[in-house]
Amino acid sequence: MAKKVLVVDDSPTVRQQVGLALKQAGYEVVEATDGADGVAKVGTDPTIGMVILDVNMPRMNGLEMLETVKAGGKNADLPIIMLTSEGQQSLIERAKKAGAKGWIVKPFKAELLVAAVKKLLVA
Amino acid sequence: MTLSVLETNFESRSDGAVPKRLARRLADGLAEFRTLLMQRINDVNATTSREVILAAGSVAAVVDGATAHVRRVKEMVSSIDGHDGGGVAAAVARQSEVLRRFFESVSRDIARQESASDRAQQSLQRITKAASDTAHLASAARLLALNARIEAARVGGHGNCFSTIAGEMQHLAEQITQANEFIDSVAARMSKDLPEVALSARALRASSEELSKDLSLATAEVERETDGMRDVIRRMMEQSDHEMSYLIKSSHEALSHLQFQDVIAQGLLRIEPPFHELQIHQATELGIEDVIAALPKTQHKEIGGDKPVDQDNAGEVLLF
Repeated sequence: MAKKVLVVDDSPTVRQQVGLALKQAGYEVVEATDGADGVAKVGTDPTIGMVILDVNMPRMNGLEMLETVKAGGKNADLPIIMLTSEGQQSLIERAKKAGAKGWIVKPFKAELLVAAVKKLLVA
Repeated sequence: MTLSVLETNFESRSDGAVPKRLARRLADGLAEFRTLLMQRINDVNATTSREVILAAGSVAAVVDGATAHVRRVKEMVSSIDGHDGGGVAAAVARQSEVLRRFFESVSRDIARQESASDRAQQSLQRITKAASDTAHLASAARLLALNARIEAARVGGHGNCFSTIAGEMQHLAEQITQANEFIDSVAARMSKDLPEVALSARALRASSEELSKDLSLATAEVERETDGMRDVIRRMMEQSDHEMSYLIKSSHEALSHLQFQDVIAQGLLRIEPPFHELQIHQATELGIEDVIAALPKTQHKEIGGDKPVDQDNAGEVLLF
């Protein structure tokens, strides 16, 4: 069965582009439009095996979602990669400390993103 | 940002302050401009977003179409050359082998029939000889009958018993002769038929062996052709996989390039926060701070604040 990846981004084009790249690599993809939507989906779908998470989003940003999901305990091991236009070291450190597995700077290279997902899902 | 232009234009007032009514009109104008600007930005972003989604969808459709095509070709190839032994080529080879074995079996049966015919011919020769021997017995019986009659005539009325013996011997000789004639006729027919049976059996065996040989050659040819076909298919599939990888790579590149829309959209939305700041500054400068609370909040907010696109680190992947 294909592993399921949740793509959380307020940009429909980014969700689509990430989704298509992952689908072509054989993954099943579900989408969320912001952090709050993402938290809800992670909480209700135990088959989600990974999260690609934007940082700057309305309602709940990506770092808040990361910290919420990881604090929940149930999904503490769920691998999360941050995908953002942000590149500040302090933010990267905050994500790392919260339990993120990776940080990709937008605009991303689809091939490298897929390679990172494969690597983390195999590990 | 300062509003030095406005300040310069209104320095003509004795206290240097801008009249409240004019200040509010300026603030309203700026607010209207902001609304219009954001409306235009949202329109542009919606349009480009829609177009980019369609373009990415087209790219994906090409990849999906090619993937489906390759899958169908692989299924077709698998039905012709199934590695699980279920392919057409394998079935043809199996059928050829079954036929070859069948004709081998037929050849063995015919050889046995040939051998039986030979033995039957030998038996017939022995029967013919035995019939010839019994013909001598019939002659002897006739001679004995003649002698018995002569003896009966010589002794007169006392020779009745010789006469009876003579009659029986004569009857026996006739029966033997009849049996011999029957055996001779059957032997003659068999002598004529058996060589023909043996000859047909030999011809049939030769044909069968020839056919079996041809089938072996055909089976070997089918196997050779199958091997050749497998090689062609393997190369074709390798080429196909290579082309699919290239297509997916190209698709990934296209998806990467299409992110320009998000970069532009984000860039355009980043105009709003400084604009908001400009309005606050303007209101403060013009002494109409009360309008600040009514200003609409910015749609776009970034944790890292206003910044240019990070070209140097774009695409960088950090795994922890």
